[in-house]
Amino acid sequence: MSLLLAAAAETTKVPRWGIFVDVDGAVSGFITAIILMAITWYFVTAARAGRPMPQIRKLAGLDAIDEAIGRATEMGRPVFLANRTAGVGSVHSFALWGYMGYIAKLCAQYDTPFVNIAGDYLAAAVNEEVIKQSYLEAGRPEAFRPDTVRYVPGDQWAWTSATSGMLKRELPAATMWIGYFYAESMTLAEVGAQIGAIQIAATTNTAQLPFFIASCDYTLIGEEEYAASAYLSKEPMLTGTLVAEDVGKIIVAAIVVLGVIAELVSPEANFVSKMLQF
Amino acid sequence: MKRTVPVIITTVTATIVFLSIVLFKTDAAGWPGQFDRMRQFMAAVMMFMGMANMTRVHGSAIRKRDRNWMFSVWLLVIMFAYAIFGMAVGNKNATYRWIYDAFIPPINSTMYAMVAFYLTSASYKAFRAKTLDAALMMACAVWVMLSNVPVGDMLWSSESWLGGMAGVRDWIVSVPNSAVSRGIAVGTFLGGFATQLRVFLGIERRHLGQG
Repeated sequence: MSLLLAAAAETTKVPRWGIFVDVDGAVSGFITAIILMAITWYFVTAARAGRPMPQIRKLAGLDAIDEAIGRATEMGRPVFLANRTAGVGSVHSFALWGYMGYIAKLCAQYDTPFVNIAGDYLAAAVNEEVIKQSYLEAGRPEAFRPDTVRYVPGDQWAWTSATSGMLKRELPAATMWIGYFYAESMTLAEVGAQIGAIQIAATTNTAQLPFFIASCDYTLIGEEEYAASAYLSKEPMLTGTLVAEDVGKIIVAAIVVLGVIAELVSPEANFVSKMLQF
Repeated sequence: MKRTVPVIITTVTATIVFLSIVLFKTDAAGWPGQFDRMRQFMAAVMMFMGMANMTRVHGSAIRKRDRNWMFSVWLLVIMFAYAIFGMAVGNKNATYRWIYDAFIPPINSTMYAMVAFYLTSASYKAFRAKTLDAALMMACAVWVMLSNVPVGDMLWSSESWLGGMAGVRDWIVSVPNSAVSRGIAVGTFLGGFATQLRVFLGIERRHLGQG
């Protein structure tokens, strides 16, 4: 009886289970993530099994890295790689480490000075490990200098003025701006252009893309920033994740087409947007 | 062992956080909040690593008497003096706050203002209409700039046909510009997701000091 009374009593609603409460996009987000994971898993497994992976299209900005380091080697000037905002948990940092490993290894092989300017102290510590490992892989661990990784506090304009000062004083032959930048992108890219450095930028911030495009020699747009580790390493399993990403794009395009048709057929129903809010 | 354990920790933590966000209430008291607090604690400890890095880099410049080494001395004196002063008096102290407020915001504003001059030189480079793409971009940019100043309204009033220059500007910004931005945003989301999955599945191991 007491159990029946307890069941009949009005209980306080505590939204413990996001999937069962009114959280927009919880279920569709979960399903989307599972689908994308499954596609990625399929292509990674296929690559591991040795099945051929499609070719990645040419990315001029990534191909230019070798050219930029070669120029720096000829001129006897350093290569700069910088990121201000990304901490260790950021996806931009994981992308950056792909570039960093490759660039540091080439610089170690050619005995070209390499400088990383980090705006986050946690990321700076990881950067140091990544670079040391690359120097080790190149067979020249002794070439790692203590001032290779320079931590400059990530406050927007303090970091920018410190970095601009280093550019002006040390005159690098190549500068690479990889990650999420804000208004400092204009200052950095223009100072780099003034000293005549080859500049490669990669960002997902659409508001800053025009500035990089105007002042840099090569700009990687949006998702191209994340393709570096797969593109540069040419490892099939990493390429598999890029193929999965492209399949995801096809699915998104199909949903867009479906949305357009649904809006034309029944404008009031908002079928696709309701489906995605589920 | 050195390779496997970090990958297992990454995968298990990522799974817990992902499921917590999707299934549970996602506030600071939830599991993702707990993980974030752990990260904040680690970050606070690692701040000393940042100071150590700056001391090492600038200490080396002072020892070698590099060009402008006196700026390194200045930086280290300021950094340690201000940190020690802050720890002694606390961050609510009026003098401690005044030192920051009197120096940093004006210097920041000065640096930000300089962007205007860099924009001019970058615009000059971008607006050399050598190709059709560059010419189109230049035409759009000139249109948007003109429509944002009173002379634009004088040339083609916003109360006339198509909403004048401002009406066409709004269409450029909200239709073609927005469509391209969203296209990039979709690609960026998928690229970011693929990158996170590479870490989650243990394929991407650069951050663990492994090639």
